[in-house]
Amino acid sequence: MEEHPQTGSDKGQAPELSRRRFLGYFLGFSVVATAVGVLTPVIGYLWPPSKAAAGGSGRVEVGKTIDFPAGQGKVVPVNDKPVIVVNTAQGGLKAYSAICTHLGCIVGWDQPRQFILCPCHDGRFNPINGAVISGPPPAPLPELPVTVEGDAVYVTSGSA
Amino acid sequence: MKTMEAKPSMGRRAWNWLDLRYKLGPLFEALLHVEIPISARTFYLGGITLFFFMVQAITGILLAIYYQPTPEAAHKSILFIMNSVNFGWLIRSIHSWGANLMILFCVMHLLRVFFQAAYKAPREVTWVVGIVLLVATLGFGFTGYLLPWDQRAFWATTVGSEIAGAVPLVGPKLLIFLRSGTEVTARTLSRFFGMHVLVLPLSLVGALLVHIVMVHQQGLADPKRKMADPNEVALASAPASGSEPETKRKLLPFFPNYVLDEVIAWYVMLAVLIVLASLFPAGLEAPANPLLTPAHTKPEWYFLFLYQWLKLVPRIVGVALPILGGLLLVLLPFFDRNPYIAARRRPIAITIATITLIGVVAFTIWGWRS
Amino acid sequence: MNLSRSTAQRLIFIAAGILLLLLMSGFAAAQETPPGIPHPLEGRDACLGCHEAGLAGAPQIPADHTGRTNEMCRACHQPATTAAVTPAEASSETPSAPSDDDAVATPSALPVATATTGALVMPHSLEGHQNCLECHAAAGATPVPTGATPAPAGGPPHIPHPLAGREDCLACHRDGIGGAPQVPQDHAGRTSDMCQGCHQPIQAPEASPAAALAGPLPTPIVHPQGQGANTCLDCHAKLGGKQTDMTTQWQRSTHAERDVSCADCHGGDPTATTKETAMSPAAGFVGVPAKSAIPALCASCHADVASMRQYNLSTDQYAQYSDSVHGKLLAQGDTNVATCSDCHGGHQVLKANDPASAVYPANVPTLCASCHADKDLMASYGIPTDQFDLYRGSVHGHALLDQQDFRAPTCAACHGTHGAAPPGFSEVANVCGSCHSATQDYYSTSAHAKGGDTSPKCVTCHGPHDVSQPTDALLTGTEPRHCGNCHTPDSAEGKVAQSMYDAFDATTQAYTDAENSIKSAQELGMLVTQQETELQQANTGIITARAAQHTLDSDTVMKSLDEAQKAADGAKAGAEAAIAQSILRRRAMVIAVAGIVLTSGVLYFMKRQLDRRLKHES
Repeated sequence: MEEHPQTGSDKGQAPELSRRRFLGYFLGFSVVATAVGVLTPVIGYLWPPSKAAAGGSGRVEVGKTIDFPAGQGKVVPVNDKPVIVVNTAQGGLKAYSAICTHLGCIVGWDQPRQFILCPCHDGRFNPINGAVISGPPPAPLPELPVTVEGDAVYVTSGSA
Repeated sequence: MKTMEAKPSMGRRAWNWLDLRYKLGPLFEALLHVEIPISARTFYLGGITLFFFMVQAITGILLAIYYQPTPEAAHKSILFIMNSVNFGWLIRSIHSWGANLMILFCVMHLLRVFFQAAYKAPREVTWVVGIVLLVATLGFGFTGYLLPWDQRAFWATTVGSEIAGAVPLVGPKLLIFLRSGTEVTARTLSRFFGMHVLVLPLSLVGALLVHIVMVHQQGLADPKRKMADPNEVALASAPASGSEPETKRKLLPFFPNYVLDEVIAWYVMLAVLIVLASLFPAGLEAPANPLLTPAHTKPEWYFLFLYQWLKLVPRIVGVALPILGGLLLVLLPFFDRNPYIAARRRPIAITIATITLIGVVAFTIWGWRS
Repeated sequence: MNLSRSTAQRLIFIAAGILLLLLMSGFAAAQETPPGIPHPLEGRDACLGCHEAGLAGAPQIPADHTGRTNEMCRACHQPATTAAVTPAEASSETPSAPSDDDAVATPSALPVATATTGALVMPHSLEGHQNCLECHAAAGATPVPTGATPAPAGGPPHIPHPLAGREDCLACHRDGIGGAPQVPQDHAGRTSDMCQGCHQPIQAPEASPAAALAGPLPTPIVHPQGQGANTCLDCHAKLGGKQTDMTTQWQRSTHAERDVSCADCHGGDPTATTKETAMSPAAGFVGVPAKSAIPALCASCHADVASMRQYNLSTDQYAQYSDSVHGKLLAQGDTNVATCSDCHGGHQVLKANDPASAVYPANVPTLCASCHADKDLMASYGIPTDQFDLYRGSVHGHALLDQQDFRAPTCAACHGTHGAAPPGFSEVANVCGSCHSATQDYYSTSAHAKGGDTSPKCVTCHGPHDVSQPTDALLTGTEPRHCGNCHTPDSAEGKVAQSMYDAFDATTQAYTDAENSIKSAQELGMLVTQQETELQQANTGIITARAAQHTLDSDTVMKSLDEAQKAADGAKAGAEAAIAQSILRRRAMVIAVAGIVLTSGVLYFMKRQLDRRLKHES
């Protein structure tokens, strides 16, 4: 900034000075505000979020092996989508999308009869391979990969 | 200029300390010495493109911290960024809009340079490097579009790489090279991610440095000059002879005048980005399903004119014309023998350019509506 | 002693008179006695009722009997028991049937009727039949058919095939054509009309008042196969018009693919090259089968397990058809009903999964309607003709005919295919439940299911042919098919219906609200995938509750609806949160943009100052 000689009456200089100083302060404030406005999202973004995230390689832990004993099935959320995890003697631990292929109802596990049942229209699915046993569903339930590491059960969802 | 009245400020003391050691003064003096003719009207388009690139670089680095480039995880990681990461929606939306705006302003910068004949001597190579930058920018757009791995991304990439496959002779090989195989698969995603995050940034930064150094060396072109003169730069840096004072261009100080103008332009663009990101956040469709082709699938908007053009005409013509156009564009300064700068003295160039521009815009709109 | 001439004359006159009388009586005894009564007398005391005017073939009384009354007839005419009359009992029953198990009482069994022609005529000449007991052995062991078993030893074998179109016995049996047993030597000289005097056709076991269908042929008609030669086809294809059409149709059929050709149904010789030989009765040609004979003809193969096993085709169609309304009517002689060829085609018989087949599921309603929508045809049976129109407008009709969704029932799915008959009212729940199994399970626990035929079944509320999309409105209102039609609103049941309606109303409203919130959030650009899943859960609960309402139990329904309500509320809350988040962002945007605009203004002001300074300097 070039300097101005401090001559002349204070009255004439004062508005000039105050406006200048005001602008200077304002600009300084703006610069700081911009810096804050840019840095806040950046640093906030970098801070790890508290909510549970998708784990490495896109899989989600749905529980422990003791949560899925043989002969039982359970619907669990995997990345906001319902997934049914079943454990049968013949097929082992399997996971399928729990969205019925008929009209999109959420299927459940029929414990007495040991198959996957959609309560809406009595569609039945084979727990060993997701195929339709009877009822109106036109297509089998899509299977999702299940991995067991130690005592944790992981389901990988999403497309391959 | 120091006064002896008061102790210099902290900043000034720091500057002096470094200047003493590294001769910062002359260095900055040289860096900031860019000749800007007072009649120059760049509309700051090149600078804005640079601004957007910097925005993309920052937001891109941030996104890469949470993004996972495998088919199983990609879509979910984007969803995570949008829903769970603090300001994740903002960073991603800015990155998405920034990409579109960067391409738009890159093209507008090209048009400005063309219509002001700033590509003519002595700036031929600057233009060629600029075309390289354009291609790199489009490559960024193409590779980045696939990364969310949703239906739109997957199928737009499939369709877009088909266009590449239409090129004669090298087309099929080019297709396989792009896709890392015959279909779009996990390998395609890895390849595109590597291109988008490593290869293209380094290439573009390299070319950008060359471009900026060239501009720095020559200064901006004066749109009011009469003819292109290969000796322009040499003449300008020659010792001033008193004989022709009028020929010496009136200059605008790069710093602080032109820099201030650019900063204002960049601020305005920042506001535009914020508005767009808030009102129209980046969307995400269903995860990619290679077995389910959506009803309407098209490539990104900046390729729509090509796509629509190929739909309209037989393949041979459809491919030949864009390739010819591309070659013309790259080699333009060497094709264009007309030395005149003024528009009325360049009827052919202006006419061809205007028709091409209208055609491209029309085809883009047409492709968008269909 | 001398007799006078007058006395001798008198003596001779008297002797002649006595002689004459003797002669006359002898004559009368021999030939000129009044004819015996050749028919039983039960119910026929009024002789003149027939014989006066000669009704029904009864010989008219001669002129010289004028003035005599019924009581007088028996004075001279005795029931025929002697002379040239076979020692038949004076009954019109066949000379047999000691047991009444077959009650093969139908006199038509013996085409040689006795009642109308008068004397019981021996149906065969006595040549070679001197020993009556050779056939008419012991009492009871006479050639009467007792079922499908061969005749007992010594009796003439009975006819194992229907007689329709086969009046000329000797056409086959003289030379033993087509595997027909050849007539034995001792039958030489007999003609075809004599055969049935001894040989009876098999009678169907049912002797219910309704007649029974002719049973399936025990074996298909076997005719000489000429190693692929089929002259029937060769000629008929060239004849043009209907004849050529028949051959084209047959060639398209599944029978043609399996080498079932013309002669297998029509008889004849497919190797012969002249019409006379090929279509001769000697070759077994039967021409167009009579309508009533068609089921038996088709069943000759299709009811035979051994033949059908290789194609894995069931063989119960004939048995089902016999028990169907169509079959029973056909057995009574009604030829208007559908037989095999009416539905499956005569020549162009196609598999049911061939879209060109008339019994392809999508074509079945039109097929049934081709008769059942014909007012004139159905008038005599008193059957309504609006079923097809009702079905067409129903959800089943839409699904099958508009969307080609073959999960939807055709006429045959509910009424049966070959055993077609409308299900009884109490059977309806099982028919509908064969697809709507969940609903049937719920229904079977309800008070409606246990009320017998007076309480509603599926069709009561949903309609038989015009099944429409049910809505919650069925729970209220008093029109037919609504709960209120039977239960007044202030009754206990009416209150339950109303409470269910209110619960559905509330939950579906919550669902709609959630859906709208989600849509708003999406339009603002927010991602609400979790809320979409919750909405789907709510939908599951609502649909389950809709099926559960057939239990008529509030608690069961409320359980599903509560879950649905919770999911819907959760989805809505999430969507509203996303909308609030979006509003917050927009507010922040306004503040940021305002700041930038302000700053830009100041910077622009500074720029202007710099420009001015520049201008001054230059």
